[in-house]
Amino acid sequence: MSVKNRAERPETLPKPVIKSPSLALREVQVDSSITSKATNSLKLGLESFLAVIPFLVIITAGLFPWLFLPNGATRFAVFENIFLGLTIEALPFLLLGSLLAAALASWGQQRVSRLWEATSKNRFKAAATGVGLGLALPMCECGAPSVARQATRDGAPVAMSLVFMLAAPVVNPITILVTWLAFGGELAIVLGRIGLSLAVALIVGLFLSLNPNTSDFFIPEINKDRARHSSHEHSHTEGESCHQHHIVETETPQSKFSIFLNKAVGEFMMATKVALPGIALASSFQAYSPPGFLVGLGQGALMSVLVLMLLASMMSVCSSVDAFVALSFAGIFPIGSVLAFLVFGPLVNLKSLFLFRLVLRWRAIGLISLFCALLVLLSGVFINLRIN
Amino acid sequence: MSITLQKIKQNQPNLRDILKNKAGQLASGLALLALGVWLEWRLWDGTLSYYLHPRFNLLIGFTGLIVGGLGGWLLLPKSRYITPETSPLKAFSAITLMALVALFGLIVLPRPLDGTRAALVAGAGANSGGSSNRALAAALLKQDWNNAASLDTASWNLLDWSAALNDPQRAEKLVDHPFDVTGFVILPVTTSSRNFLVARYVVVCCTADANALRVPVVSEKAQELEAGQWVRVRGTLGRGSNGIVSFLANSVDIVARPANPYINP
Repeated sequence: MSVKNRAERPETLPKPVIKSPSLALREVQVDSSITSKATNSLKLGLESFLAVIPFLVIITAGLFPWLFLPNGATRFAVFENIFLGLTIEALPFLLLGSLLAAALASWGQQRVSRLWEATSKNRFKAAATGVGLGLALPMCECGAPSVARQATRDGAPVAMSLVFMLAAPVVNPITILVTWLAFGGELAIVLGRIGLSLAVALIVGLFLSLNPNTSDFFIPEINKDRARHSSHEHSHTEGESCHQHHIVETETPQSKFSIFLNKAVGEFMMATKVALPGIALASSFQAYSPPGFLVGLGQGALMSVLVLMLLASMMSVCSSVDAFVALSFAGIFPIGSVLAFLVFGPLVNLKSLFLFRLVLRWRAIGLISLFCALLVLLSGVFINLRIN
Repeated sequence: MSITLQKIKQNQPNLRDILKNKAGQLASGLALLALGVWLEWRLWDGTLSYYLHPRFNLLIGFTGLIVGGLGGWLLLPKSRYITPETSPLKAFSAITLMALVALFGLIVLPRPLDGTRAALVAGAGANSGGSSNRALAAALLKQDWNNAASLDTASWNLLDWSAALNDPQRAEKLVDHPFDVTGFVILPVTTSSRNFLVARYVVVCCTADANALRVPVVSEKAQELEAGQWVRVRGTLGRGSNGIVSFLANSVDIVARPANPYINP
């Protein structure tokens, strides 16, 4: 029944002094139907708005400066090149993360679920598992959130998910090897990078895991899956995973490989969607701001750390190759600032901030970014003062 | 088994769901296929180097194949597609965004970074720092500076020259040495009839870290050149009328843009 009908009802219907139970029930049903429709419209409107946000961000970052800045067309050509460059560079790592997440969902779910159960009672064990996974999987900041998303959906403890997502981009084997190669085996940088990243990831992950209400951190979609997982009392047939079980319940029977492919497609598309606005912002910064202006801002123990942290976030270069870029600053900035660039960049950059949305609420992302920024800033300044 | 079949029968999707599912499958398949084709095409025509260091070529090749393969699989009539576990709007925006990026990549003519960006900061000096610093240092280490006379400077690129000219004492040792470099033209803000800058980008990882290296050139042909034009400049190192160490050009030839427009250390 529409709102118009409801408004007309008092004139068309007689007004009983005492409502009969059936009429009262009908009114309640009508009211709840209207409320439900209004809620649904509001929900749909909000969902539509959220769905167009990535488009708005990309258009605002790429096209608006073109229209309003001097040399707009020239700068837009640069934006276009860097946007496509960063996108191409990110795609292999987004795909790798999606494939691993899909493999976990298709083949490893029962095993990992047992692992999550075993570690869920002790947050230190959970954090250690996160570190172990980070060390083992070749995931940069583009791929790690997809794997963390799958693990979190399957009931992984908060400490594990957060520590993995924050530590994996730096402590993965590829990044360690590249840092080693780029800095010519300079142990202070390689170990400093790994140690500082682990320290930040562990402190942030363990601290936030103290909050008993995990739904404060994760996006509603993940909270729903976690709730379903924890209250999962239906039986699985032998060799059938939880995800398969749900698919069997709602869709046609799937082969494991088919599930894997489906999952990989879904994960890859979602990860790419959330990465693109960040890439657009990073490209916009590169194209529309004067090159090198941040580097010229400061050289002191504090300012140089701040400048390189900001630069790392804005550039959003993949953590698996950013050591080559950081190397360029080695002769200009003190070692603490270079370490800050190497540690903070993979943790919090324009691309990864959006990718965190695969798992976390904006509030949690803000909190994590703040903690990471403070910890890296303090460590960088401390190292600068001590070493110098 | 019978319970599972019963559940499946109870949850048989209706025609509308099937159509929605098929449309989603087709759109996702096409978007992924376009993305894969874009990556492979850029690799095939060599324009991938406009965006990335060639060390990534193999990785991008594999990525293109897998992404395109996933798209192709979705387009197969017998592939069993599950609607993503997300709201239709979110799925729609993900598919559209991916399709737009793929189309953007396919339709827009690949363009490398060129003189226009470097010209925006032409007043910044002979060389910019940033990500090229390490490359400059590495370029210096390649040479035997104890015997400057034996240096084969005619084979040096702009990276080698920039590295050498950063130090006035080293630059002095190189006066009268021959050079033969290719780069694009930057016309200085303060126009002089005989001066321009020859420049080239150094890309360590991707164009997000690109830095333009510039060396001043003195040539009679300077006024005939346009900003962004690719030139091959030959001559000897010397001092310009302003006393700055510059390339004194004997010949300036307009050439086609090289296949790889950047220097990738």
